[in-house]
Amino acid sequence: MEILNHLAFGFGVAFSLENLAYCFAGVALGTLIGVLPGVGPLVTIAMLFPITFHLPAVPAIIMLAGIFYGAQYGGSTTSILVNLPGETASAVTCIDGYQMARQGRAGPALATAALASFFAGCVGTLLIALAGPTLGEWALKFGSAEYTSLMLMALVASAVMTQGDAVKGLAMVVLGLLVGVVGVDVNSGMARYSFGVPELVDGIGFTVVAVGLFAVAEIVVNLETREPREVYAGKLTGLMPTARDLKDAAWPTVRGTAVGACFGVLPGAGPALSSFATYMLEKKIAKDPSRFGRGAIEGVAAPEAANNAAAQTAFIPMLTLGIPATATMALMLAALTLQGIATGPQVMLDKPDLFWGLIASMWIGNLMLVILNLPLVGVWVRLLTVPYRWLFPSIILFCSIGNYSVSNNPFDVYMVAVIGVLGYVLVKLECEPAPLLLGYVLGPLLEENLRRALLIARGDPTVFFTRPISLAFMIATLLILVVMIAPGARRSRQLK
Amino acid sequence: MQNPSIARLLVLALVLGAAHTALAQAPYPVKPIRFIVGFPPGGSNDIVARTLAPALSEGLGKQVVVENRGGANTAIATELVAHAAPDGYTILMNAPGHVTNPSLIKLNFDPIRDFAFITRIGEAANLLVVHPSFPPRSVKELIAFSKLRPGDVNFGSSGIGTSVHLSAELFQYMTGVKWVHVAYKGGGPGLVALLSGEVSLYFGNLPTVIRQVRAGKLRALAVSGLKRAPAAPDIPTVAESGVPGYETATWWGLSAPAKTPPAILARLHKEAIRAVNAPDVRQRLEGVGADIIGNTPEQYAAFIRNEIDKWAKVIKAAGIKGE
Repeated sequence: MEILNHLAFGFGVAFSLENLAYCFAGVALGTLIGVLPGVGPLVTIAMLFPITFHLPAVPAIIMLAGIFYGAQYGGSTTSILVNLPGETASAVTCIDGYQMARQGRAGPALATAALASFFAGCVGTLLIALAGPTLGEWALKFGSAEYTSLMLMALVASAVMTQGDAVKGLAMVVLGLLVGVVGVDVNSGMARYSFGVPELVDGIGFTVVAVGLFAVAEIVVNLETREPREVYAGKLTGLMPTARDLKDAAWPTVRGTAVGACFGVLPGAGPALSSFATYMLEKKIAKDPSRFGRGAIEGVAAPEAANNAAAQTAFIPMLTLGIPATATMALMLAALTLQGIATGPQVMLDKPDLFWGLIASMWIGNLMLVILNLPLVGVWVRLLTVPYRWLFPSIILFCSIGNYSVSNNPFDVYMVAVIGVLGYVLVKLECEPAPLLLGYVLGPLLEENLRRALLIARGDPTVFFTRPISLAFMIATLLILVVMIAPGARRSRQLK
Repeated sequence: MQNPSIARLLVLALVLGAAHTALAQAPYPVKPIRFIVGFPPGGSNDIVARTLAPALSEGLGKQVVVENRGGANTAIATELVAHAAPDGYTILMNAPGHVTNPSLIKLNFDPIRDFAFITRIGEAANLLVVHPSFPPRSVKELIAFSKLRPGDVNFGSSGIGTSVHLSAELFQYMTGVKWVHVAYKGGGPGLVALLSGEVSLYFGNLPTVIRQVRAGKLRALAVSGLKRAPAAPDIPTVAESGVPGYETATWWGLSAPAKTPPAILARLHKEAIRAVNAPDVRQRLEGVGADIIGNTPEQYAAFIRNEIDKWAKVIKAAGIKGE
């Protein structure tokens, strides 16, 4: 088979000592920055950018790519341990991962996250090798109308995210939509709710909202109690997942991988949405959805698989179309351009050592990551035995450093504090932060695409029903609505 | 003396004064220099800054550290530098936002008087590209086609007020055609929309879109610069295709706070010119489609004044409002 020859060639390139070393440097650095909230792959790759001038193209891109997907592994660590989302994509992992840690199951949660990421990374890499160009073309079929219908479907499905009171869940989604609206409107260029503050012109950043709602609010709530060390009440029950854990996590990992791989290819939808989508899916099809939010292992495995699969397939538009879907991809593309390599539709033919070498290195990198991360589980778990009076100032400190580093602006740190207060109020009102975050992510995307689709269709709303992919999403949306409104479904909601 | 504390204060003042003089006479620079970039990492502005910074550091003998202060199309970074200490330790990477923002948003600084302009580093023309299914094959045909169908042609952009957007606005302003602007969040999604045919027309960053043209996924009609681009000498300019005087480009320049001492400005100018002309830097900048300029502070300041006036007219005519 031709593909096997290509892969064998790729492994030949990736297995050189030099490339292995750069791959390891990349993934190790990626893990590290993934752990730090806010300090993302973008900032790191930007800082390392001048170094790549002095490297040959293949090791340079192998290292940069390693940082990018390595960060997805590290991002889950603080989400699980201290409810602090290290990366955009791992915010969803907080919901169940942190609950597992509080029950003394931080070890199994971390190990599951690493194993699920590994599986997803391998499949994602294989997908690039087997179907990269086809998937790239598929991504082009997603116009504004398709995005609108997809977002609408996700928004309707978001009712599933809520644990208890549906009305409160809805209120949180709406509040999230409002927070997402802040900043310059893409379609009209008008600044909304920015109150003349230049820092608000580009909106409130995702890490600011996620860190404030999850980490800061959680700390404030914990400090209220007299004996805050009881945060991690349960005793540690083993570091590695049990056979039952693995069985429970297996299918969610597979489904998460599939969902993540699809979202990763779409420029603009991103890994964040993929982890939300797969979480909603798992909760919807679970036999006992009430376990979610209380430390369900599926709620860790699925989103972690999804964000790592998305991190791999996000390379498809860049490698096959030469389009940088995100700023991080733009930097990698620029690094290649400065090496005199024209990435574009022909890169597979022009530069086979780069293309197949990179793909092979991703597989090796994923293996390195799992080997690197599993022994670390013990180290991380021991961190939880640190008295809370030492732990919480450190968390706050890392939150502040991380958020400051996003745009070197103290304003973002103040915003985290403000959002943290909001998060505390929400906890007191027994409202959950996850639907808010989802509304925040989906709202601007839905509005932007809806208005754009209507602008292009010159105001004709039938555009959402005449394009096949869009129509399919619309029908799915309708089905979800019917299922939710149906009396049986309502009764089961109230029973919870 | 009756009051020893006054004596002590006097001595202290003398020592401090001497130290201050010594510091002023110490050769600039004595500490790292902040190089403020108005975009988050990943954009062309950031890439040019990061390509230039090592060469500048070498010439100045101190680290030049790139600091990203993204937001409000460079306005946040520009305001920071406008109000920074004029000591030569804060410099700014200018971008076209510097000359278009005054017409788009309310600024807390003066885009001309608050700055000492050092040199315009270089510029990159945009490439007017269309989807292969779009009938016009030249700028002349495009104008005729658009005149017959006012308000029918969609052009994409990477956001309101960006060079991609304003290139198209200037084209409409100078030719009288009417298109519909469809804004996207960034260059990536904008380009995807053109490749998929959701929009017909796009003034794209040359190095990125030329690859698509070579692969037959897009068709190039013209370059936006006054001269043909070295990277694509076979493609005519918009100006020579029937819109005389048409010129737009993405450009990069260096400036410092207005009251920076002339000696320091002269040093920065010297080092900047040396940096952009270093063969390896030149080669890298040309790799991202930049034509090196490296002009005098006077030429650069005059350019800024002209551009602010030019875009004020276009933005007013196009009815674009920021706030």
